[in-house]
Amino acid sequence: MTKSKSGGFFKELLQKKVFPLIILLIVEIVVFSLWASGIGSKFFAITTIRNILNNMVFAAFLTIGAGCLMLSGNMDLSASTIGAMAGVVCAWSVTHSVPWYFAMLIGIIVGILFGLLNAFIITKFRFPSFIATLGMSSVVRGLMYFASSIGKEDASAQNINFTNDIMYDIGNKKLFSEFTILLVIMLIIYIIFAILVARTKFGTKVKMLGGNPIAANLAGINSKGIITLLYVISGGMAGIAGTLFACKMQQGSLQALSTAQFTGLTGAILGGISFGGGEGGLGGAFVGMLILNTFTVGMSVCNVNSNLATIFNGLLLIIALALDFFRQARRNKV
Amino acid sequence: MEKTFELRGIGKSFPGVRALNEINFTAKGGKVLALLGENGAGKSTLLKIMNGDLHNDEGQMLLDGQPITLHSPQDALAHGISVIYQERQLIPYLSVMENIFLGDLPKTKSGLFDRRKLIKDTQKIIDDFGLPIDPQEPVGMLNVAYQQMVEIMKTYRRNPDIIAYDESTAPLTDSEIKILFDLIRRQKEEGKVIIYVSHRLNEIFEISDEIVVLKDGNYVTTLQTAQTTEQELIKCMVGRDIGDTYANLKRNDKYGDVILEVKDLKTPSVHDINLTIRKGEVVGLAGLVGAGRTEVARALFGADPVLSGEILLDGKPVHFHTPRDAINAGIALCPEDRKDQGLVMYRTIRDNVSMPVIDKTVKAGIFTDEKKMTELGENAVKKFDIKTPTIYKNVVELSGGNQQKVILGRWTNELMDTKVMILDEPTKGIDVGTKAEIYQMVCDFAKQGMAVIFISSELTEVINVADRIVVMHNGHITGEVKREDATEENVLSLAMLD
Repeated sequence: MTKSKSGGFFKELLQKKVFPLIILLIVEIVVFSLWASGIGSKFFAITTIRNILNNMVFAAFLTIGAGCLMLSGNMDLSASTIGAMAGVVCAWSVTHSVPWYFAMLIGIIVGILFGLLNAFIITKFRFPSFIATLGMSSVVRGLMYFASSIGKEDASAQNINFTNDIMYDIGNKKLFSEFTILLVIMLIIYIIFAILVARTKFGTKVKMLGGNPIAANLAGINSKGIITLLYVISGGMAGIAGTLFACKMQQGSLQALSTAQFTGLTGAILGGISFGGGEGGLGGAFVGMLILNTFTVGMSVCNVNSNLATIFNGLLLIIALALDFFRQARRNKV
Repeated sequence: MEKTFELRGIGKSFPGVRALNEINFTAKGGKVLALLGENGAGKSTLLKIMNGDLHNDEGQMLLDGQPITLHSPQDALAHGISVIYQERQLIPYLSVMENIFLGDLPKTKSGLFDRRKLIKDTQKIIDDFGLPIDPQEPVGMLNVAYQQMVEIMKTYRRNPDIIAYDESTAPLTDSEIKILFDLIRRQKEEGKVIIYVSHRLNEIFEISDEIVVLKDGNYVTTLQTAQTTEQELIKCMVGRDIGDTYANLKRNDKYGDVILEVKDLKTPSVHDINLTIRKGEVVGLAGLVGAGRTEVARALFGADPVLSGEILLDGKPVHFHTPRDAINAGIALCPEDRKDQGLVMYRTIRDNVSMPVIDKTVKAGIFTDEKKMTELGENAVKKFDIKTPTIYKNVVELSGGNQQKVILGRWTNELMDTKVMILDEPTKGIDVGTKAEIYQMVCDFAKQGMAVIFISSELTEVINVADRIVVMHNGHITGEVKREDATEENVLSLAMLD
């Protein structure tokens, strides 16, 4: 269990906690490959890999924020709603002849502002982050539905559709024949944050804070500042995910990212980021998400009802939580 | 037949710590056996094993000559063993009677719980004790002494054969202590096995028949109470005469300029605090628990708000809003509670030592400088003789004394410039040997020109280590004595002054 020299991205992958996950991933791939070939289909193909990776783009953005926050012992349950809000605001702006780049920027800023609001409530009033962000999620959703229903005769909230060629390209165009621009953007940002967490003073402080917030504060780590920054990151990532989702769909969707939040959080927990904070890294969370998405894609390749994958994902979350719980219970017993 | 409870070769290890080693003794029915030892001697661990909360790695327990294995407190109860822990295990919002009969509430024929019988049965127990407690009152509303008595009633109700009292008198006043001792004497006459754990030697002499002394997890000896003296007991507990430790300290005798001056400091919990400390001076802060010593320390460290008054560092007024401000100005605090406030338990020694200087151990502005951190960790291990194979060990695996040294290492690492070192109960729960080492470290800090504020609840320690002792009571300073003039009596009388 000794988490010695805080290693980098790849070293982290090789650490004990992530190692079984990689085995699980490999087992998953082997099982699906055999299953698929049994029914005359093909699992191990570039299309499958593409589907798996493209599938997790939006969840990965949310995982960056959620993962960093969980490392510090905090949570953000409002990220997906904030992301949807950012997408809606972005779409609204485009339909009101705001230039595309500016509309996207506005979307991201909306995310950051809600992140700041979360941070303010949590650091100022010392609310548990779980409750504060759950409340915020409802407030943001209500605000979004309310605003998009103003002026409608039956007061029903509707998605905002738009068309913009550049934004469509950002959301759908492929680079290197198979992989989307979105995926490349996500990978770059994800790797930057994985390195930030594993290798910089920022990451060290976040993990110290997660390990023991009182001790960290008494050793001169500015907990309020770090927590604020983390919520800004979480809000900002939600904003990026939301605006990119709007680009892809050419729509400001009220229900955007709702499953991404779940995948993001499950991936982080499965990947070894402890609910109590202080342990793990974004590398593990990435593997966690890969496991979830491989299953979803594998099920569809093998022509199984995709709803079963949702059940599996839920069970995996429970198992991951149980493992985390037992690990902590064992610690507390000493 | 006479009851016996025997421990044979009991051993227990925690990660990095050998808590108990080859403990052998037999407690006989109709006698009170006192268990004596310093903090960390292993008494609590032993009691937890007796109660089935922990499992011994080696050895066995024998009840009336039969080996028993306990997996849980329920197992222990089934064997008639009950331990009354130091920390009360009551549910504050439940009534006295519900707490006493918890898990065993009387039922009516229809299966509902029988409130009338419950009140009647509880009242009978309360009458046995002769206390004015209402069975229906929530336990949380009682004062701590009565809460403690309810805890004892809980055990009394189950009528176990083997009863261990762990520091049960700590929250009690003289009148309840008398009630408890009468109870123990009755239980003794009934032939029960009584194990009595306390730090208070006078109580041990009053109630016990024989005394088992533990030290650092080892069995030292068994003494007959009637044939021993306080001096002999202390010698067994400590392993040598305590007088030496203090006489052998190499103290600092050269003071520098005034470094810290506190004028009329007021915080939500303390007031009228005036202090002047010179470089190289060790000032002790004595007082009873709750006197406000920790609060003064926290205010000086920017951890608690200052309502009014002035703090001058090097002659210049300072205002700290966070501990970071205080650290930057050269003030360090080793907090009272190592585990909860001092250390990140599941991080390495190295990381814990570098904590306040994370911003300084960087390359290219942001990347952590692993080499520098390693160097800081290794130097701390060397400087304070921290017992560990490697600096990559998580601090949770270290013993209390070594954990404390990690915190000292943190504030004295070579990237720090600590001018005022505040130590809040630095020897709490630490074995005697390491205590002596820490006293010498305190003197060494002073020799290096630091001003040291030494807070301790142990009177002997504070009057022997500090150069002068400032005594607090009820949020303010009640007096000051020099070491030469200090006695436990005069410091204590200041600490209890109204």
